[in-house]
Amino acid sequence: MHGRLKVRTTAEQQEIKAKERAKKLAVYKVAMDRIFSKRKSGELDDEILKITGQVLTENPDISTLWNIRKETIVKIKNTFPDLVDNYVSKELTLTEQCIRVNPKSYNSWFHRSWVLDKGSNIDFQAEFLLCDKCLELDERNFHCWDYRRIIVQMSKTPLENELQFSTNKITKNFSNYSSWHYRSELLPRIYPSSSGDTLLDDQKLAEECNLIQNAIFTDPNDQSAWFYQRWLLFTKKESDSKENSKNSGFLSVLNDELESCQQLRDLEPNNKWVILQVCELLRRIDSLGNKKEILQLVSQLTKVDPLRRGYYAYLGSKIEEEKQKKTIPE
Amino acid sequence: MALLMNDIVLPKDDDIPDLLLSKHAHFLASYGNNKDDYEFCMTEYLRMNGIYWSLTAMDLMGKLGEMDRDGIILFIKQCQHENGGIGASIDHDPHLLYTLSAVQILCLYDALDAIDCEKVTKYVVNLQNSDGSFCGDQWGEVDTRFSMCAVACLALLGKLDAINIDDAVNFVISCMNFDGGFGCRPGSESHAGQVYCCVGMLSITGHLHLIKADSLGWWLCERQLPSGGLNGRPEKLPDVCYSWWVVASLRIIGRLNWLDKDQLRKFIMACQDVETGGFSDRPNDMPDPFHTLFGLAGLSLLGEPSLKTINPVFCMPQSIISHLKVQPQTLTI
Repeated sequence: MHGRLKVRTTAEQQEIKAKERAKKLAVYKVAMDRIFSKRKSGELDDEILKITGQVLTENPDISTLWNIRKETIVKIKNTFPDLVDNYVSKELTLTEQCIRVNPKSYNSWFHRSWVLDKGSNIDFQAEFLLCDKCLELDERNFHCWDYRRIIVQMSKTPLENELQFSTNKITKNFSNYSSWHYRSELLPRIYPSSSGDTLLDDQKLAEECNLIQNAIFTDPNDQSAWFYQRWLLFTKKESDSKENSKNSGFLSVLNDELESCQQLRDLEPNNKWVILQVCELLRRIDSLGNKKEILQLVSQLTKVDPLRRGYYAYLGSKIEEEKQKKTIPE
Repeated sequence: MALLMNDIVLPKDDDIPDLLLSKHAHFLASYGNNKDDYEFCMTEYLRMNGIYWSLTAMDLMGKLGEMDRDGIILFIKQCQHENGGIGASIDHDPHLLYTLSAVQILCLYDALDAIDCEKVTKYVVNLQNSDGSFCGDQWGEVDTRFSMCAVACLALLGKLDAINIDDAVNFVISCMNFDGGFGCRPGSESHAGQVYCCVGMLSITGHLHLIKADSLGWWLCERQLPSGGLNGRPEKLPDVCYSWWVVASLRIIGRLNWLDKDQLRKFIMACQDVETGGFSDRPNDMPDPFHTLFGLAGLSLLGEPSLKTINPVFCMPQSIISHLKVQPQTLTI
């Protein structure tokens, strides 16, 4: 039971509600009995689809009822293959209804992706539209994002289109962690770097740095872009992770980032995200040379963000330990 | 925009109740006494989970004896299917989610011999795919939650070697994200519940060295909001259940002190329902057995002396896990 506020009601309201619920419950019990008895006698037919559909529209989480529908679809596919598209389209309608009732219903989303596989002419455009609508209502619905990734694969949609989709989402609202996440998956596949220092090619890296700057200057308290920036700047390609190479180009990227973070710090001197990022940049640029400044910043972090003082203490002790190494493996 | 942060305001310290153990026990023991209760009937599809939540919570409070042991064991027997899997309730289909709950319940009762455990092992083994992932049941849904269910179930049965562990681990690692967290499948966004499943899975199989513990630990401790409560993803509201998913994960990777335990404790205590007993997701919402277990389990992880010590991987009393001689891995800094 998530987010259901406990409300005070009068005795009269309670009685009305109890009567409504008793009625609903009676209908539910009759339906479930009928479904299970039909299933036992092998009657996987239009009637069982109708009754399971009615119950699921009220409660889309009863996975066994979705299984019964799957058994029925499989049976139809085997006995009347010509009819299956018609049934698939009914499943799409039902799952859409159920997703409206509960947009976070694992079962409804899974059933939809399962049934896509059974039809012969799926309209992927319509599937993308459904995702668009759903993400309009809740841009962080991870079920919908996952479903989108499934239809991208099935429809062989170019990843560049998805990157554009992610850009559109982010420019509409920088605080969309789901969309930043999506970029982290897409970019290294579309624009891999040729050197070991970074994940992306130089031009794309510069563009991304720019996008992050826009985000963090718009709302320096929004953590999405900060997490993304840390990943983008401080992750090396796995095969090169042991190398300590640091080309001058990448060092200048780090210095540019440091400069703009310092600017932001002038505007927001107590913002923990920017202080932490300055720390991390100084560490990567010259851990030993900047040690004193870094430790001062760490101590400031403890004051502005006391909830995480344990983490900052750990960070401080790591920095104290750093001796001869100039670069820090992540 | 900091003002728009998704969080709640806690009541004043004096208005936060003490730990109401006897009320919580009453709430759980009487849950489902009325078999015609609407909520009770409508949650039949997850009954096996519900029994596990209630029994584990009761056991943490030392009140397991108040529950109907024989009735519950008989019920579980009736829920085991020919293929070895266990369903949420009678007539409901078998699934890893309910199979694990059933095995956990039987471990609490030291009654694994009530079901055919060899068949359970076979059921779990047959759900592993060639890429190492696990389906939840015969219909093919893949999710890292099911990887955790599979290895937890087998570890409790002492049959962990029945599956291909390397493949199973590789699949979980392929779900690791840019922030060090884990999602449902490769490419899925990090979510504290999935993080717990993946960290737990790697703990049971002894592969925690594959985790980027510092990145993940930072992401996890950033789930704590000014109210002290924890959310499951950035920019989301706090919820008592994350007092389990986040805190257990941090505990397993040895970084529990990266968040403020006192403030978290206040948040959990404020989620108690002082009238009926039980915990809700946030203060003043409706309580339920799910949040009651994870509220109590979170308090136990924080060292609450009036509760039994909980095992952070299996979410069962440590005494049970020790008795079974199961030793999941944990990290230290």
